[in-house]
Amino acid sequence: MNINNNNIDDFIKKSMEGFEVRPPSQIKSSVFNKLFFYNLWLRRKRLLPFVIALLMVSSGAIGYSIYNPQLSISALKIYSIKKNTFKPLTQQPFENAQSEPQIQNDNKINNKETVKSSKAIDEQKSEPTKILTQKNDNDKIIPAKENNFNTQKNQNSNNNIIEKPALIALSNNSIQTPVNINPQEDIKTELITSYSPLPSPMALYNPNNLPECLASINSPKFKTQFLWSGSINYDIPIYSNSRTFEGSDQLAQKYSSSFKNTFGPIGINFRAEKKNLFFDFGIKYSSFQEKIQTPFGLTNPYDKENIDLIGHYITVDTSAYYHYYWISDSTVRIIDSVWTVEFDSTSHNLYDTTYTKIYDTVHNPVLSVKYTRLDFPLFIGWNTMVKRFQFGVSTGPIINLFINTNNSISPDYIYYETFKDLNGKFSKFKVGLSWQISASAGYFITNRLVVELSPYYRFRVINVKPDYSNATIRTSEIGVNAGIRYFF
Amino acid sequence: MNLSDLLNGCIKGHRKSQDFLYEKYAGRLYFTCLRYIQNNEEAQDVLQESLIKIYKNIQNFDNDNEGAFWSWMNRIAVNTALNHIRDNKRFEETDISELENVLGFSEEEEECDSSLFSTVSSEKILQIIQELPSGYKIVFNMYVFEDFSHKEIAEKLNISINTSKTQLFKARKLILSKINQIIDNKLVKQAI
Repeated sequence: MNINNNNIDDFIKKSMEGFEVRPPSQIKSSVFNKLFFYNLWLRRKRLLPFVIALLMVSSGAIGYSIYNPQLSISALKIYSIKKNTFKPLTQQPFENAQSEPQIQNDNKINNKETVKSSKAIDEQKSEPTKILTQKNDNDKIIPAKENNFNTQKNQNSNNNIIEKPALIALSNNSIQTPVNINPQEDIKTELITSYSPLPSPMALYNPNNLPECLASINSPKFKTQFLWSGSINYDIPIYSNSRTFEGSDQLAQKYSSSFKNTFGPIGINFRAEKKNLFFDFGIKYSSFQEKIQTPFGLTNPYDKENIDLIGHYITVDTSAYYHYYWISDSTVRIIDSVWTVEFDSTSHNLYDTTYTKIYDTVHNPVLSVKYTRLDFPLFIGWNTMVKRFQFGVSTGPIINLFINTNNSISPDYIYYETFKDLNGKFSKFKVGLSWQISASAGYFITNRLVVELSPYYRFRVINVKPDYSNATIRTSEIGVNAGIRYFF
Repeated sequence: MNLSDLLNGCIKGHRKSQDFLYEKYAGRLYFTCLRYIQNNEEAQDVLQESLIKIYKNIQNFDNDNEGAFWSWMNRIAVNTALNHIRDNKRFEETDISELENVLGFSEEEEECDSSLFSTVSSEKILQIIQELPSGYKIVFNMYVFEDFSHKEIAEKLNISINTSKTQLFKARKLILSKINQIIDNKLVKQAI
C-alpha cells in the first residue's frame, strides 16, 4: 500500500500513538516548587486549626511576658546592692518606691551633683534612698538599673564610680537601705529575686482583699497582670448524635451505630485570666469506640472487588465510586448509584432502587471501630466571683487530631475477607475542628483550689471523613466537664 | 489510582496525586510541546507552564472519562505552546513559492511504500515534524494530532481557511519527501 498526501495523516498518527518523551527530572521539581504555595492554599482548611493554635499560643506568650508578675514587681525594685551593706528598713516601703524615679531624674539633670567624692558619700551614709550610678568614660551617668549589674571587675577598675547609697529592695514586703558604704570595698551586685508572693485569686477578684502593702501601691500593673491556673478535667458525655451520612437518607435510616467512650476525654488545661476575661488552652486525650449494632453487615467495596458468591466468582466494578451495601439474609442492597456486576460473563447493572437477591447469608457481624484522638481546646471566656463561687461562660474551637483508628469484627463471620472496614478509609493524623460553648460553675475549696463543673455543647465544624466517601462523622455532643483547678 | 481519585487528590492539593498525574502524563505532554516547539528548553518551559495550568485548573474539569481528561490537558498544552509561539512572533505563514524553490518541490505527487514507512522510527518522524517551517508545523499538528478543522485553525491562528489548507497540503508533501529521503538513504546503505 502506498502512502500519499491523502492518507499520510493516518500513518503518522498511528506511528506516533502512545509515543512520549520523558522530560528532564528538574522539570518535575521545578513544577512542584512553583505549586508549593498553591498547595498550601488548597490545604488551608487543614492548616487553619494549626494557624489558630499558633496565634493563640503566641498571643498567650506575649501576654505572659507583658504581664508577668515578676516583671511588674521588678519595676519596683532596684537591682544592684552591695552585699551585707543593707539592713531592713522600718519605714513605709512604697513611699520610697515612688520616690525612685524622681531621684533618677535628679541624677540625669544634674550630673555634677551626683558625681560626688567618697567623702561626700560618707556624709550621706544615713540618707535613705539613692540610686547607684556610675560615671563612664564619657562622663555619662548611667543609672544602675540600666547598667545591668556592674561586675566586680568593672567597678574596681573604674575610679569614677560614684557610690550612691541607696537602693530599694523589695523583699518580703520590706525595704532595705544601704549602710556603711565604702567605694573601695569589694562590691558585688546581685538581683534580688525574692519578693512578695502574689495574692490569692480570691483576693484579686476583690481588691478589698488585697494585702495592705499591695493595695497601697495602687499600681495598675497588679490590676493588668494575668492570673495563671491549671486544671485536670474529664468530659462526661450525656448525649451525642454520632453519625450521619451526607447524600444518602436511605443509608442514614438503616444504619445505626453507637459511640462509647472507652477512655477520656481526659486532659490538662491552662488558663490565663485578667479581670473577668480568661483564655484557656490545653490538650485532651480520648479513645472511643463505634459499634455497628444493626443486623446488617456493612461493606464498602471500592473500585474493583472480587466477591465469592456461592462458587461464582464475580467482579464488581464500582466505576470509581464508593458504594455501600448491606448483606442481609438473602439480600444484597445497594444504596447509591449504579453497580456493574460481571456475573458469569454477563454484565448486570444494579440500581439502588432494586434489591437483588444474590446469595444467602444469615450472618450478623458486629463491626466495631476504635478511634484515638487528641483534642486541643482553645477557649475564651468570662467569669465572675460570688463569695466562694465562680461562674463563667466560654466558647472556642477544639482542634481534633485523629491519631489512630483500628477495628475488629466478630470472629464468627466467615466472610471476613469480603467485609471491608469503614475505618480503613480514615487516614491517620486526620485533622478536624469542633466548636464548643460551655458554662461553668466552680467552688473555691481553698484559696487556690477550685472544683469546677462545666456543662457544654460541642459540634463539629470541619468533618473528619473517610477518603473517597460521602460518609462523614458529624457529631454534636452535650456533656459535662468536671475538673479541679489550681491557681499558681 | 483511578481517574476519580486522581482528580479528587489534585483538587485537594495532595502531592501523591499530583505526582501520579505527572508520571502518567508528563511524557505525552512533553511530546505535544516538542511537536510545536523545536527548541528543547523552550518546550520544557511550555511543559512547565502547561502542567501548572493543569494543576491549578483541574477543578474545572468535570468529567470522569480518561480520554476527555487527556484531551483537556493536551488542549492546554497546545494553547500554551501556541501562545508561546505567538509571544515570540515565531508564527508566520510560509511563503509557498519561495519554499518550493528552496526545497525543489515538483508537481508530482510524493508517495512511499507503507512497509518501508514502518521502518522509520517515531523519533525520526518527530524530528521531521519539528523541522517543518513553523506555519506548516502548526497547521499540520493542529489538524492531524489535535483534530482541529480548517475553520477552527483559521480562527485560532487568524489566517484564512484556504491558507490553512494550503499549508497542510504542503506540510504533508514535505513530510513525505523527507520520509522518502530517509528511506532512500537506508536502502542505499543496505545496498552498500
